[in-house]
Amino acid sequence: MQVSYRWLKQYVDLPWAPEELAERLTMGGVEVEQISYRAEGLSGVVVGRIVHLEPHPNADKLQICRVDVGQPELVTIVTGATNVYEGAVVPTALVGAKLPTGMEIGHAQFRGVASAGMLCSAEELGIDKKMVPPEMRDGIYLLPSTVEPGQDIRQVMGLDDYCLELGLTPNRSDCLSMLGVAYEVAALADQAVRLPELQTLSTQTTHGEVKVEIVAPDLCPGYLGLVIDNVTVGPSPLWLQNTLQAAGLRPINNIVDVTNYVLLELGQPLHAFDLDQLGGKEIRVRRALAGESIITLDGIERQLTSDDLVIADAEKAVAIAGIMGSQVAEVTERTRRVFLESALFDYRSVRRSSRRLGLRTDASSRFDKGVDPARVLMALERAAHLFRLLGCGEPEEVAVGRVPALPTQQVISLRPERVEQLLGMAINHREMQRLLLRLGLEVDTSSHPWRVVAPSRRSDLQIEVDLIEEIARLYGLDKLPVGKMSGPLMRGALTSCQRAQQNLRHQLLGLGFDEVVTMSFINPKDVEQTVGVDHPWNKGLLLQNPLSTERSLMRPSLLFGLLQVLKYNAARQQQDLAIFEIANVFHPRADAPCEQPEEPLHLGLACMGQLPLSWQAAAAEYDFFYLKGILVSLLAKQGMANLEWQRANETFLHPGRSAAIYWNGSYLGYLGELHPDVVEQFDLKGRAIVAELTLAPILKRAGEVPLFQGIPRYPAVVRDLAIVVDRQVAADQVARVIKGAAGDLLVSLELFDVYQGEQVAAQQKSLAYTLVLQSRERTLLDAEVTEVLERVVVELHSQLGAKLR
Amino acid sequence: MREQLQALETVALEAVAKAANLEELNDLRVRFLGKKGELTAILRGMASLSADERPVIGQLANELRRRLEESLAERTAALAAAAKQAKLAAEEIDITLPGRPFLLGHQHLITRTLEEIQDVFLGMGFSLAEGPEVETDYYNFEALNVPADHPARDMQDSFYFGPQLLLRTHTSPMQVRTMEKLCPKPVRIIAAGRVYRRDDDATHSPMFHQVEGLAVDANITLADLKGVLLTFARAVFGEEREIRLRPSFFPFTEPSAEVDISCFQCGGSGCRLCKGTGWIEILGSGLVHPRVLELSGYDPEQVSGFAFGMGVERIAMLKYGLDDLRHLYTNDLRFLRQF
Repeated sequence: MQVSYRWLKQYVDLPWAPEELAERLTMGGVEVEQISYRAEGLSGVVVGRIVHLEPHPNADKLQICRVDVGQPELVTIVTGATNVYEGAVVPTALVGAKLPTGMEIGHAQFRGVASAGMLCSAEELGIDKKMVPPEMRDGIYLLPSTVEPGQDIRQVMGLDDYCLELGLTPNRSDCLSMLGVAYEVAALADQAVRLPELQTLSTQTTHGEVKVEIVAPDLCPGYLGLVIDNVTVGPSPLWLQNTLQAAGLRPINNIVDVTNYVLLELGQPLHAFDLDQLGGKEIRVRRALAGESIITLDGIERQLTSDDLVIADAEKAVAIAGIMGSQVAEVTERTRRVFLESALFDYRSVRRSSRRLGLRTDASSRFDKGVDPARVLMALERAAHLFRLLGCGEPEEVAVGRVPALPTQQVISLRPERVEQLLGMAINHREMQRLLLRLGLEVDTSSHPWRVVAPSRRSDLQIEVDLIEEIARLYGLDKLPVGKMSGPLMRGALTSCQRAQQNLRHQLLGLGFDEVVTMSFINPKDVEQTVGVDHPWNKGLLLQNPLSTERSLMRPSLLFGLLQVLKYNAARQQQDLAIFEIANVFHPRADAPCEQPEEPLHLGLACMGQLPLSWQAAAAEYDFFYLKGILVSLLAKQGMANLEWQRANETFLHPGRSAAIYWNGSYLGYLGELHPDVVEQFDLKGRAIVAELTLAPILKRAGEVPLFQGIPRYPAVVRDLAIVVDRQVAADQVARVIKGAAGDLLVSLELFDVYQGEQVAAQQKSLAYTLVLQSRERTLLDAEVTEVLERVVVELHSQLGAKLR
Repeated sequence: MREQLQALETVALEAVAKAANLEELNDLRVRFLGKKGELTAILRGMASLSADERPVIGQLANELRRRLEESLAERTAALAAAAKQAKLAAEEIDITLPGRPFLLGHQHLITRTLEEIQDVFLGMGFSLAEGPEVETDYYNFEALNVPADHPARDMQDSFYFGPQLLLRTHTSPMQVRTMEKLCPKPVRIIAAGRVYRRDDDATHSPMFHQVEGLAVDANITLADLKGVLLTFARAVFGEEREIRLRPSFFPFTEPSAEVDISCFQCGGSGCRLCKGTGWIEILGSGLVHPRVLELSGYDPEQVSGFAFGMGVERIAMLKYGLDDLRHLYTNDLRFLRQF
C-alpha cells in the first residue's frame, strides 16, 4: 500500500512530519518500508504553453518551440519530441532547473539554434512511466490545456508530497485503504477522522432496470449495483490524476479513475461495466461453466473452472468476480451508461481463483483478505458523489442483488489485569480504556470483565489477546521492562546423539576437512547420469512445484551436492580439497509413498587432489586409504572396531577401489574412488574419493559409557613377522588367521609393510606385521612367545599357503 | 730420580695441555700412567734407593700421578664440552623453514552461527528439539493457527509433494511436535534446521536455516521474552547492544513483535548497514497464540508461552559482513576458508 502524505491529510490532522509519521506507524505495528519525497531533486520546472512551433531549419527531427512560461518574454526551446503541438501545455524546465536524474538545464545550441530550457517527459520529472497514459510515455507529458503557465510543476502535479510504502501484515488488511490508514493514524495521534463526502443512496429499490441474480450465494454474501446515466467518458481532472499517480495507479478515464479512487480511499473494489453491453440488462453471479473462458482486460484469454465465480450477463461471463473484468463490457469512450458494481465475495474463492490464474489485481488483493461489509454501500455512495462532482454521469438507482449483512457485533471480554499479567508490565486501567477508545472500539467497563466491541473494519480483533496486542502496541512496546524468566530450573543440554553429531563435526574439522552446506533438492538428471537409471536413488521424492527441474528431487544421497562442490572448485583452480557435509537425505517409504519419508542423517565426505605439500616429504594424493584411515579412527572413537569391508557394487565407484562398510552385520555406507566416468561427467581434474555413512547407528553409541579396563602390570613382548603369500589373499584374511592362532595374548597387530616386486616371486606379496603379546596375569616367558609365533606360522601356512619370508 | 720425575711431569703436563682430542688424551694416559708407562718405568728404579729415600720418592710419585690424572680429567672435560658445542653448532637448522602442514578444516558459517546461537540458549536452560523437514500441512500450518486459504499463507510460499505434504516453511512445526509430546509439562526448547520457501533472488534462497525458540509455562510474559532475547542479542552481537520490540503479526503469536537490535556498526547513530535507522531487524517473536496452545493440548488460561524465530543466514550475514546470501551455498573454498 502506497500512501500519499498530502492525501492522508484530508482525513486526519497530521501532527507529525512525514518522517516522524513513518516512525510512529512503524513502531505502532504498521511498518513503513520506504519513504520518499516525490519531487526529490526536482526544481525550476514550470508550466509552459507552446505558443508557436516550427521545424528546425537544419535538422529534420527537431522543432523550435516558443513557450509562454508566465513571464513577459517567451522562451525558445528546441525539442526532439513529436507529440507536442501549438497550444500544448507542458512541463518546462527553465535554465537552471534540476531534474531527479541529476541533469541540470543550461543554455544549449542545437544545430545553430539557441535553446533556453527543455520540455519534460513524465520520467524526467521522476514519475514512473507506467503511471502515465500510453500516448505520453515516449514523449512530453501533456497537461490539461486549462492550466495556467508559469506555475511551479511541483504544485501543479502534486509532486510536493511524500510517499509512504507500507509493508502490511496479513491481519491489517484494514490499512489497505486511505481511510483505514487514517483510522490507524488517528488512533496513534489521538485525533479524529474526517469521513469523505457521500451521496446518500437507498437500497429500497422498487423497480430495477438491471436485474441481479445471485446464483451462488455461498460465494457472494453481498451485491449492489449503481446505474449511472448520461455518462461522458473523458480524462479526469488533474487533482484526481495526481492523486492516483501519487498512490501508484495510472489514470485511465474519469469513470475508471473514480472506481480506482474509491478503491484506494475506502478499500472497497468497484467495477464499472458498460451497461449497454450487458446482454439482457441482467447480472448473474454464478460459478463458471465447464469449458467457459473469458478474455480479461489485459487481453489474455483465461480458462475458467467451476471453482471460479464470475459475473455474467444473460449470455456470458463479463468478469471474474473480484479479480478482473472482461473486454466485453469494458468502459470506453462510447460508453453512455454504466453499471457500477460494489460487492462482497468469499475471500477463499477469490484467493483460490487468483492463485490458480496467476492474476493478482488491486481488487483481488483486497477481496482475498476480506473487505469491510459496511463499505459496500458506502463505496457506491462515495462514487455517486464523485460522479456528480466531476459532472461525468448521473447516478440513478441502486440495483440490489443482496444487501450485505453487517457482522453481528461480537462482544470481546477483556480482563485488564490479564493484560498486565501477559505483558509483564503494569498499565493503568483507565489508560487501557482510553487506548481502546482511540481505536474506535466500544468499551463497557461497568462490569468485569470489560465488554469490548470492535468496528466491522477491524475484523482481525476477535479474542482477548487481540485486544491485549492493541493495547500493547498503542501503549508502546518500548516501555516493556526486561523480564527474568521465573518457574522451575530447566536443564539446557544437547542429547548424547546431538552432542555426538557436534563432536563428529569438530573431529572432521580437526582432521582438515572443510565443511560444506549444499541444497537439499537436486537435479534428477544428475542422479540418472551418475548412477544409472536402475539405481533406487532414481525413485526419490519429487517436488510437485519445484522452482526448476534442476532442483526438483529431494536428495537420496549427499553424493550429488558434494560432486557439485568438487566441480565448482575444480573449475576455479582449486582441485586439492577435503570436504564434508552432515545433513538429512530423503527416502520415500516403499509401503507408503504419500506419507512423510524417512530422513536419515548422513555424513558425506569427499577429497581430491594432493594432500598439503611438505618440503620434507614426497607429494602425496588423497586416496582410498587416506579416507579409510579417517573413517576407521572416527568409528573406533565410537567403540566401533572390527568393521567389515566388502567390495562395493556401486556404479558410480571404481569397481576395484570401493568398499561397502558393515559393522555388526549392518550396512553403514560406502567408501571409494569415483568411477572415471563420473570424474569426467563432473569435469574433475583427477581421482576423487568419496564416502557416505548413515549416522544414526554411529551417534546412538555415544550414549554408552565405557568402563575402566585397568592398566596392564606386566611387560609386553614385541615381535615382527614377515610372510610371503599369494597376491589374491586379502590382508583382512591374514589378520584374521593371525588373531585366531595367536589367541588372547595378542593385544595388537599392525601391518607395517606391503611389498610385491623383484624380491618375491611373481603373483606373491610380502606382508610384514608387528605383533604385541601381553598377559594380564604374568610376565610372558620366551618359550611361550615362541610357541605362539610358531602356531601363527603353521596356521598361516595351512590356511593361506603363506611362508615365512 | 727426583729429577727424572720432575722432567716427566713437565713433559706430561705440556702434552696433556696440547692434546687435541679424547684419543690423544687416552694415548697420553697410557704413555705416562699405564702399566707399561713412563712413570712405572721410573719407579722401577725404586729398588736401588735407600730406605730413607724410598718413602719420600714414593710420595712424590703419588703426587705426580694425582696431578697428572687431574690434568687429564680436566682436559677430557674441556674437550668433551667443546665436542658437544661443535655438534650442536653443526646441527643448526633454518627455523624459518615451514612446519609440517596440518590443515585444520573450516566450519561452514551456517553451522558455526547455528552452534553459536544454540550455545546461548542451551546456557539459558533451553534444549534442542528436532523434527522432519518434510512436514504435514497440519504441523506446518493448521496447528499453528494458519488454516487453509488463510491470508497468512501468502507469507510463506511452499514446496509441495501432495495436498497434505510439503517442505516445512519454518521451524515452527517442531514447536507443535514438542508441545504435543511434553504437554502438560513446561517447555523450554529451541529448534533449528533447514526450511524451504519458493523464493529465489538476491536476498532469498529457496532453502535456508532457522532457529526457533519456545517457552511454555505458568506466568510466562512478553517481558520475559524481551529478557531472553536481550541476553541473546548481547551474547551474539556484543554486550553494548540494546533491543527493541516492534509490533507485528504472525498467525501463531499474539501479541507479535519484530525484534531489532541497535546497530553494531554505528552504535545506533545511523549508517548504511542499518539504513540510517540505528536499528537492525533480526527476528520475529511473540506470545504463543492461545489457539496454538489449545491445539497442542495446553489450557491457555493455565499457561502462557513465548516463541521466537530467526534466520540463521541473516544473523551470519550481519555478523560476518557478507554482501551476498549466495556465498553460503556455492561452497567456494576461497569463501569457506576465510572463517
